[in-house]
Amino acid sequence: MHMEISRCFPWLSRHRRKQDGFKTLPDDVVMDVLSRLEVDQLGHAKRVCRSWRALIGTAHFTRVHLQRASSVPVISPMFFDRKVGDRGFLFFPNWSSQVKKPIRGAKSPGFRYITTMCIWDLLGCCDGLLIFSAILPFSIYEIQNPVTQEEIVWEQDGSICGFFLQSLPNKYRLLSYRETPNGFLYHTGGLWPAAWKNVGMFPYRPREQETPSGVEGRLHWMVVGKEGMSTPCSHSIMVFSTRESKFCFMPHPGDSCPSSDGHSNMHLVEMKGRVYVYAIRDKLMLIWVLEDYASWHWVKKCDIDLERDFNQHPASESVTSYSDYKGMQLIDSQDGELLLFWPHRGFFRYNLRSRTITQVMLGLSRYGMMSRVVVAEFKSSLVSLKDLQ
Amino acid sequence: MSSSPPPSSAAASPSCPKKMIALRSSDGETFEIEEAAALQSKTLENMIDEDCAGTPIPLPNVTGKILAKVVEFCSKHAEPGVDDESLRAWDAEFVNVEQATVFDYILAANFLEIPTLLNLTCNVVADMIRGKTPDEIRKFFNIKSIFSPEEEEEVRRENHWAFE
Repeated sequence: MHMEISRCFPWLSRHRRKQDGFKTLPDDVVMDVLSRLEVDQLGHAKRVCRSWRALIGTAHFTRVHLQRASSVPVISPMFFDRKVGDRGFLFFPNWSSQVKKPIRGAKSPGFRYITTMCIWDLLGCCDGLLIFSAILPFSIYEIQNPVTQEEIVWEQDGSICGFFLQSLPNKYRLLSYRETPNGFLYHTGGLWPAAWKNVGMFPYRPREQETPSGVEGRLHWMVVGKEGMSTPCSHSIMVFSTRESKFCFMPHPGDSCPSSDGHSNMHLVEMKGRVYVYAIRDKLMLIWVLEDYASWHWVKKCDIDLERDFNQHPASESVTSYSDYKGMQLIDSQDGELLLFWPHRGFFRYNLRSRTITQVMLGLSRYGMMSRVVVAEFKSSLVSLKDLQ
Repeated sequence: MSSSPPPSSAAASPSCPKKMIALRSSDGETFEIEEAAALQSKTLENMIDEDCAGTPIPLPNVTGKILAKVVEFCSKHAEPGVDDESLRAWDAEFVNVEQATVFDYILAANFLEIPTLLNLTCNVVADMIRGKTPDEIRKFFNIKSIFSPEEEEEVRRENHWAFE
C-alpha cells in the first residue's frame, strides 16, 4: 500500500529540502562558475552530472576557460650532451623551490619510430598547445596538448617560426619561412592541406631556438640575416600581426650597437603579458619593457649589476671573466623579483629592491650540462587538436 | 527688481542630499539606495537613465531578504576611501553564509548585472567545488546524477588528464 510520506509524517514536509542550487542558475552562469576551475578539477566536474559534462565539452566553454587562465613560463632545458631520441622534458619553474613535476605529455609516445630518430626542440606555445620541431631529420613537427594528451606529428617543408590563433576565421595557423636566393619567403597556413598564403619576402629570419614573444595578437622575434649575419639595429626586431597577417621591422631599444654583431646578446622575453628586451653588456643586464606598441615606446626597467649582485653567491666562484655572464637568461617576473637562468649553474631569483639573489632548487640534476633554456608561455587548456582543422 | 532664480534640481550644492533610488522586492518590501551605489548594477543604471524617477523600481526576481543584502553590498562598494584589504575582508564576511543564500546572491547579481558581486559569489562556489571528488561534489550540492553505466565508463576513460 502506497501512502504519501508527508501524510504519514507531517513534520517531514516542514523541513526545507536541500535543493540543487545549480538547477536555479542559467547555463551561462554555471559556465562562469566552472570556468574558474583548474583543468584537473574540470576532470572531476565532468563526472558530476550530464549537464556539467555537456557544458564543459563545448568549444565555447574552452574559450571562456582559456580567457580566465593566466600563463606561466614552461621551460625546456638544452643540454650539451643531447642525443637522438632525447625528448628532454618540460617543466614549470616553481619560485618556492618545490619540485614541480614535469608535464606528462612531454614523454608521451607519439610516433615512436620517428621520436627515437629525432631530437625535439620547443618552438612555442599557443593556448595551451605546445609545438615542437625535430632537428634530425629536418622538417618534422609535433603539436600536443599535454592536458588532454592529444598530439599530432607531421612533416612539412620550411621552418615553422610561429603558431597562433587567427581571429577571423577562428583557426590556429602556422607561420613558416623558407630560404630562397632573394631572401626568406614567409607563409601562413593550417595543418591540414589548407591553402598556404604568401605573407612576404624579407631579408631576415628569426634566430634559431628562440620562441616568439606573443602579446596582443602580435608575435615578436629578434632576427638575423642570411647565414646568420647580424641585421642593422633599425631592423633587429620582427613583428607579425596575426590580425592583419603583416610584418614590420623595428629597432631594438637602447642605443645603436657599436660593433657589427652588437645585438646578438639581446633577447626578447614575454613576461606576464608584456614584451621585454634584455641585453647583457659587460657585467650588466639591461632590461626594457615595451610600454606602447603603437608608438614603439620602450622604457628602461632596470640595470642589474651582475658582478656586484651575484658576487656574494657561491655560484659565482667559478666566474673568471665577464663572458661567464653572457648566456644569462631572463625567464619570468613576479612580485618584484626576476627569475634568471645562469648557464651551467642553475636558476636564481633576483629581488629588484634588495638586489639580493636566491638560488632556486628545482630538484633537477645536470645543471652543469645545461647550456641554455628555451621558454614559452603556457596555459593549461582544454583546446582539442580537432580544433586545428 | 529681479526675482530669485528657480531652484535647479540638477545643481549639486553641498546641502543637497544624495539622490536616493527606491527599489521594491518581489514580496513588496521597499528599499532605498544611493544613486552611486545603484550604478553598480547595470540593470538599475539603465532603468535610472530611462528616468523612472519617483516610483520604486520593481524587482520581481529578488526577495526582500536578498535585496536588503544586495543594497548593503552595493553601498559598501560605492563608499569612498575604503582600502583594498579591508574591502576584501568585508567581502569574505559578506559571503560567509549558507550555500542556498550564495546561490540567491548569484541569481540577484546576474539579474541586476552587478559584476563585482557576480565575480565574488561565483568564486565562492568554485572554491566549494575545488578539491572535491565527483561524489563529494554531488553530495555537497545535492546534485542528482543519472549517468548510465556506459556513460560512466566513457567519462572515466576520457578523464585521464592531469599533471600527474
